Order: sequence, then C-alpha cells, then structure tokens
Amino acid sequence: MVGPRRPGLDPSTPVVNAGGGAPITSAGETAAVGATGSEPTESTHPVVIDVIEAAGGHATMPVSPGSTITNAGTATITELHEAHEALRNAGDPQATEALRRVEQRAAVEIPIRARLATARANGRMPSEVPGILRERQGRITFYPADESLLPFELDRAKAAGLPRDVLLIARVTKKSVELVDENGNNVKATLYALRQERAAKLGGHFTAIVDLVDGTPHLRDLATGDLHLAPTTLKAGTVVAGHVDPRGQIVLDETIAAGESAQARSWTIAAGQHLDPTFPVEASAEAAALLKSPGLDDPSLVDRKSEPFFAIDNHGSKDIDQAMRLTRRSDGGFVLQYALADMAYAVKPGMALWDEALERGASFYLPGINVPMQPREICERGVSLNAHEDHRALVITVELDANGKVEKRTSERAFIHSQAQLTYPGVSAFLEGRAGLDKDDQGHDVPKVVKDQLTIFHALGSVLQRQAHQRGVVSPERRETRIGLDGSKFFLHAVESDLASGLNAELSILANCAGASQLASTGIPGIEAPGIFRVHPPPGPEKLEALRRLVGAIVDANHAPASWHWQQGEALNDWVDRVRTLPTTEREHALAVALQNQVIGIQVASEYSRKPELHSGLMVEGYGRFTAPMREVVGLLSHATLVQLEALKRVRALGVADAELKPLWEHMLLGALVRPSELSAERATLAKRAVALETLRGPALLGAARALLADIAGAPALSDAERKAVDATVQRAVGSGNSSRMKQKQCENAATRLLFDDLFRSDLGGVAAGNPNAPMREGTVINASPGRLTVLLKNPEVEVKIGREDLGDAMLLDRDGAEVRYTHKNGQQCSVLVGAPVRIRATYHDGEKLHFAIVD
Amino acid sequence: MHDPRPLVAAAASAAQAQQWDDAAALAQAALAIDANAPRAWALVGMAHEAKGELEQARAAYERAVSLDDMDLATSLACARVQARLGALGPARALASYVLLKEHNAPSLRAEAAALVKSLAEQEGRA
Repeated sequence: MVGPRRPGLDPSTPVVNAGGGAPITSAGETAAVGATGSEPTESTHPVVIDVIEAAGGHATMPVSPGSTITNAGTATITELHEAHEALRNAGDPQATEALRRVEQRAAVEIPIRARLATARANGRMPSEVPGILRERQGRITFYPADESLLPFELDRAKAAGLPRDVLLIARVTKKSVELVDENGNNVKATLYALRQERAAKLGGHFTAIVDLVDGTPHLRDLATGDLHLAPTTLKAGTVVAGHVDPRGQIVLDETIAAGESAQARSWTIAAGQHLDPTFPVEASAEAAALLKSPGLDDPSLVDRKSEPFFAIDNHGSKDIDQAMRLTRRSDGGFVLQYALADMAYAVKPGMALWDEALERGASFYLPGINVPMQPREICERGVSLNAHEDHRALVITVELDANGKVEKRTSERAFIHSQAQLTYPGVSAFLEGRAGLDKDDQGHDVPKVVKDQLTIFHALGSVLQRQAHQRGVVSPERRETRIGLDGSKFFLHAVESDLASGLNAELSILANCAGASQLASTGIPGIEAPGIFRVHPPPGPEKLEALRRLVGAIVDANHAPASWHWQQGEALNDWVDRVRTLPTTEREHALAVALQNQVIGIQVASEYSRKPELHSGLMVEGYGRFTAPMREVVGLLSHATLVQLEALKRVRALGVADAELKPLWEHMLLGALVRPSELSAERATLAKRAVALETLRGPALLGAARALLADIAGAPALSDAERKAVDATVQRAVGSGNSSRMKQKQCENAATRLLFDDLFRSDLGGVAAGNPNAPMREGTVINASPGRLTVLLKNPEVEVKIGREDLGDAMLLDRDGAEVRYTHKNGQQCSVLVGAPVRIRATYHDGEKLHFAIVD
Repeated sequence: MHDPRPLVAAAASAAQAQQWDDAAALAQAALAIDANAPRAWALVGMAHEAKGELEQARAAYERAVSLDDMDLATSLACARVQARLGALGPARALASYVLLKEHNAPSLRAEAAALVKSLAEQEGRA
C-alpha cells in the first residue's frame, strides 16, 4: 500500500465542539440504554490486551532443512481441531491423513523465546502468547513468557480447569483472551468485565461514535465498545460525549465531531485503538482540585519567578511542557535552565490520574484531534507552563563550557513565571533576520531579556548540533509532512524545516540526558535509581557492510559518478551529509533521496528500556525522557524519581551516613512510585513520610529523616511484594510507553490510508474497480524489497508502495538489492532500479486500500 | 471461508518433525484456502528443499518472500536455494536484504553473513 513521505500529525488542533456545544438533553433526543449483552467474567490486564491487539499478526518461524535455525512453532491442540474443521469438506485425503499423523505426534511444546524473538525480529508481535498460569494468595495470574508483556489475572471459576505452573498459550482475539491447555480445554477471559469496570470508573460518562447497526443508529462507546441505541436524529459517524442519567437514560452533552467530517474520521481511527478522551469521574475531580490548589504556596520551592524564562512551541500550543532560561558565562560557557512542567506534583500514586497515566502511556495525536494522557484541565491549564502565569517546575540545569562539554548537572523544584510564549517559526525568522519579535503567541510584548537570550539559544544549539555530528549522528534528509483537515477530507501539507525547532531539539536532548545521567549514576554508593531510558540498538558491522554494498550498487546502476560512493573509511554520517550536497539536477536529487532512504531503512524503532544503553539515533548512552511529562508516562515516573533522589542527596549532605540511606531510599521510591493500596498500612504511612521529606530543608529535614529511619528500623522488613513493587510499576510504565508508541504508529498508518483515499480518489474517477484513464504520476523508486517497491511521487510528495500483486510475478531482488526484476502480468520481463524515475497510476481500490501499478 | 492458519500450523508441526510429505500436503491444503498465505508457501519450499527439489523449492520460497518480505528466515532459505541453483546475484541480494532488515536474531545474521561471504568468493572465482 501506500504511505506519505514521513508524515507527522498535526497536534495543534484541539478537540472542538463541532456541533455547537450546547448540551442535548431534551426528551426527544434521549434514548434508553440498550447495552449489548455481556457475560460477567473475568478480569484481564488491559495493557496486555492492547499490546497484543495492536500488534496482530501471527508469530512464525519456518523450519529450514538446511539451516542452522531449527525451531518452529508447533500447532496447538486448538489449531489442530481447527485444521480438522478446515479439511472437513475439502475432500483432501492426503492432507487429512497428514493431519492425523501430526496429531499423533503432537506435543504442546513451544520454543517460546525463539518464537517471540522471531516475531520481534520480523517487526511483529504474536497473537499467541505462551506463558504460565500461577496461583498465589487466591489470585490466578497468567505470566507471559515474554517479560515485556504484563501479567493479567483470570477469574477463578473460569480458570478452574486449567493446570497451574505449566506452559499454556494465551491467544488474543479482539474480544477475548483465550487460554488453551494441553488437553485442548480453553477458557475465554473476555473483556466484558474489564469493560464494565471501565464503564463504572467513568461514572456513566462516555464518548461515542454513531454507528449504524442493522440500519439503526447506535452509540459505540470508545472506551468499552458497548452499543447503546442512539437518537435517530444523529448522523452516522457523529462523535458525541454524553452520560447516563440516574434513570438510565442517555443524555448527550456535546457533539465533538459532525458526521462525515474529517475530524470524525480521525475519531474513528482513535476508536480502533480504544483511545478514549473521557476520564474517570474521580480523575476529573482530582484535576479540578488541582486547579484550585496548584501548590504555589510551597515554601520548599526555589523562587525563580523573577528570572526571564520563556517557552518555544508550535503556534497555539496549549500543553507547554518546557520553558528555558539561557545565560552565557564570562568564560564563554553556557548555563541552560530547562524548566519542565511539574507533573509529579500533580499526579501521584493512589490517584486516579496516576492510574490513567499508567494505562494510557502517552497522549495520542491524530489529524486534527488529540487524546491526552491526562485531563485537559491538567495538561493545558493546571500544570502546563503557560506564559505570564506562576507555575511549579522541575528545573534541570546544565552548565557547559564554550565547546559544549557538560561540566555540571543539577535539578530542583522551583516556581517560574515564563515571560513569553514564542513559536518556532517566529524565533527562526528572528534569528535569521527575516522578522522582528515584538509579540509572543499570546499577544504580549516580548521583553528584551528574552530576545537577548535567543542569541545564546542559537549559539548553544549550534554547538550541540556540531557535537551531535561529531558523535556520528546520521541526519538523512527528511521532508516533514503533516496531515491536515479540510471539511470532510484529509490533506497533506509540507512542514517547512525551521532553525528554532532544530536548535531546541538539541537543548531538549541535553536536558533529557542530564536527567537520565543522574538516575543512571546516583553518585551515592549503594543507591540505585529505577531509571527508564530510550534505547536504539546500533546497526552491526554486517548490516553496515550490506548497506555499503547496496548504496554502491544503486550508485553504479544509475551511472552516477564514483564520487557518490560511500567510501571506505568515510563515516556514515559524513557520507550522508556529502550526498545531500552532490545533486545538481532534479534527477540527481531524487537519486540522493533514494540513497538516503536506504540509510533510514536499516534503522529499527527505539524503545523504552530499564538499562541505559545506546540510543544510536542520537549516539548517546543513557537517554531518558524528562521533557514531556504531561504527554508521556515515562516522563512522569522519571520526574517522580529524580525529585526523590534530590531529596535523598539533601539528607546525605546533612550528614546521614551512606549506609543508612538505603532504607530511606526504598521508602522514598515506594511513596513516589507505588500505589498505597499495594502496601501494608504501616508501610504506606512510612512511604508517605519518606516522600514528604522532599519538602523539608535543614534541621527540620534532618530531624524528620532521623525519626523516619528509626521507625523504619522498628517496622517489619519489606515483604517480597513490597520489595518488587517499585520495579513492577516501572516495568509497567515501560510496557505502557512502548505500547503507546505502537498505537501511535498504528494511528498514523490508518490516517495515511485515509489520506491516500482522499488524495487519489479522483484518479479512479469514482470507480473503485479501476479507471483505464487514470492520470500517470511521476516519481522515483526509493526502495525495493522482495515483496514491494516504494515510489516517491513528485506531486503530491508521498511514498506509494507497490506490492507484488500489483507488479506481476516472479519478483526477484538483484544487484545487491538495487534492482527488482519481475514478470509483468502481460508476460513481459521487467526490471526496475532503485533511484530511477518511474511513472505510475492508480489502478483500483480493494475496499481497504488503493493500489497502484507501474506504467513505465 | 476457512482460516488457513490452523493448517499452516499443522504443516509447521509436521515440518518440525521433518515429515516433509505431510508438511507439504497440509501446506498445500492451506493454499487451497488462501493461495496468498506466505507461510504455507514457505513450508512448501522447505518440503521441496528437504527432498532435494530445488527448482520447486526456489519457486515456492520466492513466492513466500514476495508475499511477506519481513519473513527473514524464509528469505534466507530462499537465498540459500538460489545460490545452490547458481543464481548468485539474486542470492546475494536477498542475503544482504536479510542483513539489512535483521535485528536481534544473531543466528540469522551469522548465517546470512556467511552466505554473502561465500557468494562473494564464488563470484570472485567466476
């Protein structure tokens, strides 16, 4: 299929009340609740299910007779039963007899890790998850063998017939988790209980899409998938928010998107990923309470309100995670104070907001809409570092010498008062001398003390950019595009690369590394912090050598000069930078894009990890995520941990011996990261006292720490569960963070499919089956695989994927991957070079996606 | 219409036990349900390869990888058979492709790298 050229999504458009916003409560527009039938069952862990559902696919690993790789997936008993069903009417005695023999040999023994590792290697997650069922303290839990997936609990009655502590397979469908034992017994752990639990938390509030079921409009709840009868006046596709009143009647409060609008299409994508803008009643109440009591009277915070912090973000942004202040030292060095929204103050374990953050993992961005991780009261008002207001912040300060070498990193909680909310284009224009900078994004005058800092911003960002290049960071040309909304359609618009966003990216990386380094190495003997890092494995030497051969073959096949080759001894990033400067013609530029695309193609996705390993995209070890605490659960936990570490350092500085710090630290982490309900009452109290140390200073701190240590010494030792509770929470955040990134990717893919329908609908002339006169479009082949070609069109500038079914047969890679050969449907032998110009045309729409074919 | 995957799984079980005729029969039954089931084609390829039927193995493997270009183990098997049949260019291209796309599968990487090296030596001699 197809994909735009690295599209981004436009996060700037808030959810708006497209229907006018007046609550719809008249009797004529209400309907009785008509929930679909649901059987009460069992609870499962939503994140697990989300992970697997989002992934889909099937884990595969072929046995190759001549290969060293010999593990294979073995059929489960259920699969064998289903295979029988499939053969029942097929009249295939040979296959039936073969199946009988397979059954006789069947052993429910799965090389678990091989399958999962292969599934990952192939860029997929399994729909089957092997694992072990365990019963502890009356709770029956399925532990997936893959530790990156979270355990989930099962209903006792449903799990009664399943053996404990032996291998089982959890098969995940859209509606259920099915555990299959070695005797073929299975139990469905349906999502109904989960849905009911979620619905109860939401207190009857919902966001729903109007869906036609047998011609009748129903409200399909985004969170639970439940259907309710809808008022007949609502058009299909309309997105509404509403609630169920005490009489059980549905009341529609707000139209979020009109039916058939582009926004409604985005909501449909969101619904496909179970992204729900509705928050539990308790969470909303907590958010409202924060607005009333934002913690601006905390005497323990450093008062930096008079210092000229400022923010740079997109035009109209409402969730401002960061503000900064820059100063230049007399020796030419820099001081960066990077202020981050103090999310860890607003959202703590035990709050419904905390649970929501862990469950959602992140905010999600789709064309024209977003689904935030936290209620908008929090991330757009209460915690957001909006300019011209007082706010709490976690300020990470980094001191660097004139060459950008980091000399000191510290962090503290402080009050700030950002003096300007600037935009990337505005700052870029100012720095490039194209425009002045008189007003900020809110219409306030921009103070001179802020403008003066922009010179330092430019200087420091430039130094950091040079450092990044010296570290070997590879920067292929990326033309950013975003999907925008126009009435009922999606459209593509290019995003001009701007100076300021590139500079700010470097400062953000610097702050993230500074925070992460403090967690990776606490500086206190025996004290380890549970950090979360984003890692990105580097390409190995074999991969780089294969890349060298491939790009060399592409250069040669396109008869480019020898100077285009990636030379032996030349760093990859140097070659990429050089290739960007070589083209003098449009054809050569297209070739350069194709060459750089091969570099992009070898990169694998980064992911969250507990270990501070290399992020090869940035070429730094120990890259954390502190700078988006309102939008990423990993940021929230990282803040909470760092704040406690600073408190521990203060206790240490007061003379408490290192040997005494460990129990204090354990309780600080329990208080900062674990829900009190997971602890004994006594432990919860001790943990609460431990985190409260953060607000004390001097003798009061020392006294409270000593008293707490004495009480901890007199308390029972940590239970096994309490000892593991911090790790379990952090691990859950890692899983949730990774899962959210996968969901975001799936949203982007779905949006891309809809974008293509809109971009090329007219090419087919309204005939899905095809239009022989569809216009030809020019492009360049920028990638080839054994199964498809990727063509970058000139106009619109999007990537179109052409699969084997659209090309012909007998597809073969040759010339180290620079050429694809195939037999056209008309029998003609064809060859296509990566980097070469082609013309293509839309051929048909199969109901899911648009297909293209190469014309010449 | 039935789902071909249970038959594919059964074929994989037969392949695991190196019962190649059974694997082929079950994979073909899966293909009768869905002619574009890449894993079924891969199992057909394995069965042919095990029986020394290299041309048929190559055709089945090539079909499999053209339907699922992220099945790197089958891509490598395909490259190996192509090499045995003298199609050195396609074999090297496919083995290189495996190297480019692989991550976190060391045995796959080692086998692909060895094949590329061997093919380069063969081409050098030629």
